[in-house]
Amino acid sequence: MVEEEAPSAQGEGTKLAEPELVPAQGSVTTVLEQIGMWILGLFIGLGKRIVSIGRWIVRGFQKILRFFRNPGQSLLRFARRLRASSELMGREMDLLSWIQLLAIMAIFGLFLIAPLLSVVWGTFMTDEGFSFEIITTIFSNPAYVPQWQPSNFNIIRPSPATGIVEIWGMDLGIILNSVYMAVFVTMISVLLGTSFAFLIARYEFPGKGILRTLLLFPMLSTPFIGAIGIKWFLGGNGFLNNLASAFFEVFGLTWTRIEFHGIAAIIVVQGLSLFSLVYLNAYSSFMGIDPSLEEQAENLGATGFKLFRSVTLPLAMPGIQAGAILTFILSIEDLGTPIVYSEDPQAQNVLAYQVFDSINAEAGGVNPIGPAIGLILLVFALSGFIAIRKYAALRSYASASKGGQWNPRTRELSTRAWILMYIVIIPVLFFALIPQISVIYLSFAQYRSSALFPPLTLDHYAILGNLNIQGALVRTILYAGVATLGTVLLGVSAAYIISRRNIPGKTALDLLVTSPIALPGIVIATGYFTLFYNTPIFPQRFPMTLIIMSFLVRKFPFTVRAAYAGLQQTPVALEEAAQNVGASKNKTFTSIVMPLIGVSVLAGALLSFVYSVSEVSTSLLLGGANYDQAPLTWWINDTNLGLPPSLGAHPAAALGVLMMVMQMVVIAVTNAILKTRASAMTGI
Amino acid sequence: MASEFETGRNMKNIMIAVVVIAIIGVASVIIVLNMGGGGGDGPIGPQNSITILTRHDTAIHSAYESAFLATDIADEYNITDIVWLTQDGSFWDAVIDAGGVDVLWGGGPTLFDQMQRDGNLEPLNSTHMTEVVARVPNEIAGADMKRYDVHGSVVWAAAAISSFGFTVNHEFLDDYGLPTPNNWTHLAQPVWGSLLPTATIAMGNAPKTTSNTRIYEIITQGMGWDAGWVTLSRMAGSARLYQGSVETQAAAETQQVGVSMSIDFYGYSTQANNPDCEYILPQGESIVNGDPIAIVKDTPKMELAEAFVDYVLSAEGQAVWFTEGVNRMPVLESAFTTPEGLERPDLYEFFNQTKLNVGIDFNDTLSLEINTSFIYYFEAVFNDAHDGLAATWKALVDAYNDADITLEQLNDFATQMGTPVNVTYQMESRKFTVDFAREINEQMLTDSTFLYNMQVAWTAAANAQYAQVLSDLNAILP
Repeated sequence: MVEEEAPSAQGEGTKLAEPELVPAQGSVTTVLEQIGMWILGLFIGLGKRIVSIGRWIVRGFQKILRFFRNPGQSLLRFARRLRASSELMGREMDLLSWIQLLAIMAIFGLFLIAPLLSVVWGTFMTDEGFSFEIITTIFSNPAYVPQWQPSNFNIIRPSPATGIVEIWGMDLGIILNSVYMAVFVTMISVLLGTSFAFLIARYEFPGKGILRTLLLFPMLSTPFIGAIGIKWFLGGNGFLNNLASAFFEVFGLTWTRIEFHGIAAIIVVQGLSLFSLVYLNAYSSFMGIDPSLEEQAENLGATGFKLFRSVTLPLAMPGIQAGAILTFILSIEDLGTPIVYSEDPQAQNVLAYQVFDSINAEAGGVNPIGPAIGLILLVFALSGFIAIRKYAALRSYASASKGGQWNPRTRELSTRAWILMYIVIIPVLFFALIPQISVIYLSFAQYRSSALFPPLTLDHYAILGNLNIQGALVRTILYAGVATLGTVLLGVSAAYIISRRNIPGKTALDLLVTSPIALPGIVIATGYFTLFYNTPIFPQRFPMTLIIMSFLVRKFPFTVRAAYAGLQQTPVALEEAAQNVGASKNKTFTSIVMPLIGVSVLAGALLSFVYSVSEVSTSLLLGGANYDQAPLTWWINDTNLGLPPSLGAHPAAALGVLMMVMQMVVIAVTNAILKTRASAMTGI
Repeated sequence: MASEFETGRNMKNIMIAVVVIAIIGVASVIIVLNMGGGGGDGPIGPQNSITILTRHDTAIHSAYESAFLATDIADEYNITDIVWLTQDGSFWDAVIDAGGVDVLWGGGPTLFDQMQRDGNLEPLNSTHMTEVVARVPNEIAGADMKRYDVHGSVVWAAAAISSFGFTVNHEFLDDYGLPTPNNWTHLAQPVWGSLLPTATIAMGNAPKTTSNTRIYEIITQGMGWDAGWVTLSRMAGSARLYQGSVETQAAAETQQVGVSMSIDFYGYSTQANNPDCEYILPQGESIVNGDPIAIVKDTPKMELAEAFVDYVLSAEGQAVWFTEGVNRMPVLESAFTTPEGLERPDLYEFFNQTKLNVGIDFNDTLSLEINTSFIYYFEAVFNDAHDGLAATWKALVDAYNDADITLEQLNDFATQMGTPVNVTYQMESRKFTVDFAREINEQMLTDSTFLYNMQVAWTAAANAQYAQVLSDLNAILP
């Protein structure tokens, strides 16, 4: 039987136009096999892209080497190219573009490059001059070298004495750990994100609107306090295990308590919070598919899973892959989750934690090892970005028509089907929302006990009456607002230059304005302090300017990506038409371009705003100079460190809830305005 | 038609966005202008203010600011404002160098000793200050409450004391049939490793918490260097190492472990708020820390700074520690004779208990000489090599519980496991002794590549040592 089935499944894989006799659902093995095949295909695609990036980097190094092999001739060639490109610049750039470009260069030079260099400089300059000694020192640490001993694969560790089963990750050395962690997170995110996106895009069922909003909530973050909440919920004696245990007891069964540790825990937490990004991208891709393509496929006899696998999914693949790569980068650079689990030695064995661990030297200086590891991390993350860039360029075909929305091909789900669906979805969603739910629960609980329902109280919310907190709340909104205004002005400019001006070095410009998302915030924050403290930019008691600028620069990528996506989806022919009938370049920009990409920009801007509100590294470090100017995150930290009952973890959780409400309002408004255009929010 | 409609909707959205952004922008400009107006006369605050750089939290700031500004001393010097700076300890040098800081307060003796080493502290040898620091006892429970410079002048004095003990979670202990510990050595017993891989103890990783580091230093000083490290290795084998004192404290509270290393005021607050938890003061092994206050070298507002230090080190000023939400232990016994102090018999009893408790005579000078080597060695052999340590300790405890080895054998193996390791330094094999720690301390502090390489070497040596013990044990097991 099995032998007979295998070739037929293979045949299906290769021959697309199979007669309609093949049942839509196929046998279970066929379906599973096909799912397996496309997951495999997805990662083969990812792998190919990573390999091609590697080749691209090698080629870059080769170019540099060639340059130095024959400096005279190379310089001559360089000068010739410089002249040619300056001519090109002259032709492409008008006054407005020059102003835009210079403003971007000035802001990023001052608030990103200079602080970064001031920190990293010490990494490569030793007494003997320029050297890579620190990098070789780092790689000589056996913890960085890939490890394959059997003990590194000790994943399930039962504790007979307590009855708790601990689930750990593999410990393969710091670099491999970071990579495999990000790959697993990406897989989880893709599976969850794509499934939810397809469900929302193609089916009608009760509660769809609520579900659509809830799916964006995993993006909300509550610094410091989220960590305490997650552990309180997921611990061996935590809420979830207690709940499951109580549930099993009802049926006279015994629940085996499970506890996630180390990298396994990081994968679970990250996967459940980052899948929203894949969801957003995949959703917009599903919505953007021309229905006639699927109708044609149906006419040719493809239905059900076959239609999905051979027509719908490939058409949606660009969005899914873009979301996947973004997830990969955010996972590899995320510091918050490894810190939550840092009491497990394994959780410390990832790049992001190593940066954090070795940046502050004991004697009031900056330890250059931290920034050096940060640079290694940046190489990984930027490789991902170049991959996205290359891919985004390939998929501009998807934007042939703008301004209209396809009539979505949705179907009603039968009552039985949607009840079944909710039985599956509710637990998944509950798990995904643990970081948020646990903070809310924490804010109402009198103390953290192992009781399933500890005594509840509203007292912790008394902290909202604190004048310092109210001031911080207003300030945070203002800082984020001003920073967002700046990102909109500069972000649209940057996107316009990158997308519409054929100037040399625009890829470099794109990398520059996108790189802040992959730079460890603590490195930038340290750079701000060492470079600007006690200067007009950062007078001793006036950190406000720098806090706003740090929001602007660090959350810039969201707006610029959104604006860029908007421009990519808008045919340049519309602008050419306007210019043909006599509109000036500036008039075209304000009357044609801005209205067409306005919604995308708004979406990106609101995302920048949301992430500014929860920014941690620079807020914490700069806020200490004058807490009457410090944002809300600084006060959450201060509250968390204080003593109960009026301060401590629970009142800090109440502030976390306040922050989430603020972010939720913004996301809900964006979602309502954009409805199906949510792709602009991640805009790759 | 459709596209016209879309454009119209887009325009409306854009208009809304522009209006919202414009309102926010204008409002913030106004606020920025208003805020920027004040405080322009001095480098930091106005003439009649003092600036305090501190690691204390805002609850302490507000309690002391309102109390101090209402006093006659503040009136006499016409002090109307206190400016608080709260930068992280690693930035203190930079903040002090920038000027304008008058007083340093809170952050533990280690930080203040560093400030003294970097030349940031003013000797408190004026007539006024000599009288003030004389109120502070020289020693409480074996710990120094003052630090002197080479000329014999006091450079910092303790403004409060904190003691160390542990917070236990009785739910956890009862669930797994564990005893209630009563001192540090108790935590080295094999029973605490009986639940492994589930940890029973929460310890802070030394470089991440100065308060827990003080506990470890006391253990190595009190029991002798090698024996102290062996005890620490047995504790660390049963423990999970948390990356900060707050996280360590929270571990017992959330029932992740049964015992957490605790600083007294956190322990008491936890006990008061969570009925499962109890704070325990270790018997006969009391560990006390003075939390310093000092004046910045050559501050132009010397008189004002002295007035503030005078206030903090007066009975009235010490009583502010009793404020709700602050709840610290004063350094002056006279605080308990104030009206606020008389209402806190509970703290007074605890104060006397701390004072009478036989403390371990702590050598602050030694601590300062080896601190950097000490904390990074701890991290290298316990935190970075924790998997190996826990595996070996679990095997020892299991073998003992199965009666495969005797207690004596267990102790022998544990000694082999925890004895400080040897690494190659300048072509020579060097054990981590007090002398070696002292010898390399300065280079550990200033040369981060050296520090990194030493840690890597220690971790490797520790892993090898743990593996050796494990194989020796396996060789004699049936």
